[in-house]
Amino acid sequence: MFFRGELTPGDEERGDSGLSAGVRGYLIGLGIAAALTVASFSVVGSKLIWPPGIPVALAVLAVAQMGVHLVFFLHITTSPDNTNNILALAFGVLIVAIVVGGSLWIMLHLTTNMMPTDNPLDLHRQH
Amino acid sequence: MSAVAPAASTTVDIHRLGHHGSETSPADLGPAPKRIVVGYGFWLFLLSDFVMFAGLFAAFAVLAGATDGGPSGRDIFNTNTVAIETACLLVSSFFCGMASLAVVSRSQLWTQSLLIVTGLFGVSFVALEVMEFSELLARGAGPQRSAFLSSFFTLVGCHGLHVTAGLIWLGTMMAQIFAKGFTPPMLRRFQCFTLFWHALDIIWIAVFTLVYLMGVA
Amino acid sequence: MPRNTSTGVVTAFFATVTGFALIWHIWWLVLLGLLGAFATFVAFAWRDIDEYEIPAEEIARFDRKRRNARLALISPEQNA
Repeated sequence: MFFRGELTPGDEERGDSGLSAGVRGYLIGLGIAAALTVASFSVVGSKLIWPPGIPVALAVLAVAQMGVHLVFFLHITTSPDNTNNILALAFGVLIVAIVVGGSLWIMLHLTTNMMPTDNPLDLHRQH
Repeated sequence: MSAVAPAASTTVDIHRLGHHGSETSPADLGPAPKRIVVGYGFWLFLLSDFVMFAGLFAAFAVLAGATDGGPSGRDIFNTNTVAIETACLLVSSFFCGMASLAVVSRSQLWTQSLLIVTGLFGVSFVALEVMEFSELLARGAGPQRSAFLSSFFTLVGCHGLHVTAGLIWLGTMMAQIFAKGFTPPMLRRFQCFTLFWHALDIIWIAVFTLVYLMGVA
Repeated sequence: MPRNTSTGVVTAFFATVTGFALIWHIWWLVLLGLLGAFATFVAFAWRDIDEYEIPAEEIARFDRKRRNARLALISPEQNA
């Protein structure tokens, strides 16, 4: 019995479009990912971006490239056949956001609220 | 009490189950095909792997400034090496994708050749990373030097270990595909491998952006 | 149903050996342990038959037997 309408991650709903369409998909993904990588590396070196904005630019380029990988290499698309996979990914992203964001938040408050004392043996200082 | 016999060779549209007129409820169809269960299950495992890396990333982010007077990112990171490593992984992922097309075509020759190329680029990545690490160790900038370096070696080293394990998996799988052909279990394993390999590249995107590029910027 | 296998236990043995060797810095034993675990796993992955089927009728038969046994337990007490 064939379930029409369920794709496992990595499956491509290609049907009759054949080999060349598949190759084209991967080539497009490779091209865009390469361009985003080159962009990331050049953002760091050049003066095109206002320096305080560089981390944001890098983050945006990285997220874009992750999206390219997900769509073109892993075939995680927004079609209804992929809903389960998208939901799982969204949950994973949520946990990652909580772990990373939460850690940064907590540690930032921790270091801010622990005012340096005159005690030279204050072992909490990390600098 | 009689067992429910599944309907033979019908195509079921899962989006229409239980809706007006259809007689089959989702419960009557039994579990999903093995391919889907295995693929989805492995995808869930990969997401848990992402969460583990998120913990390592969080540790690195918190400790990035704790250099203890030792070398900081700017002192030890070489963006050229990182660029080549990134290119190696990206091209390796591309050839892995090509190999999955070869598997669909059931061509043993194309599959093995493309997988060899995938593996070679992966080996280059690991070799470059090992060279980078040993160079740092020789300079005294090892994981014991400072909290920053500890978290750096843990994070990037963990990713490198994943890639190495993936390469061992690749070699074993290539041997198995050669010996057994494209049987359903082999297809499932190959699919899991492609998922794993692409996921490693996704993690590397985060690594080279957050660790190397932001460390140097 | 999946076929039984001893792979888990054997791999755990090799993993214990590896852990012991890592703690005491016996590097050759680390390598041996890892290789043993890997070889066990490859042997396990190489098998062609990895499951066996239990026909639905057999399960129905087991279930009927069980139900009848339980009914026999209950009914004499209710009638008493």
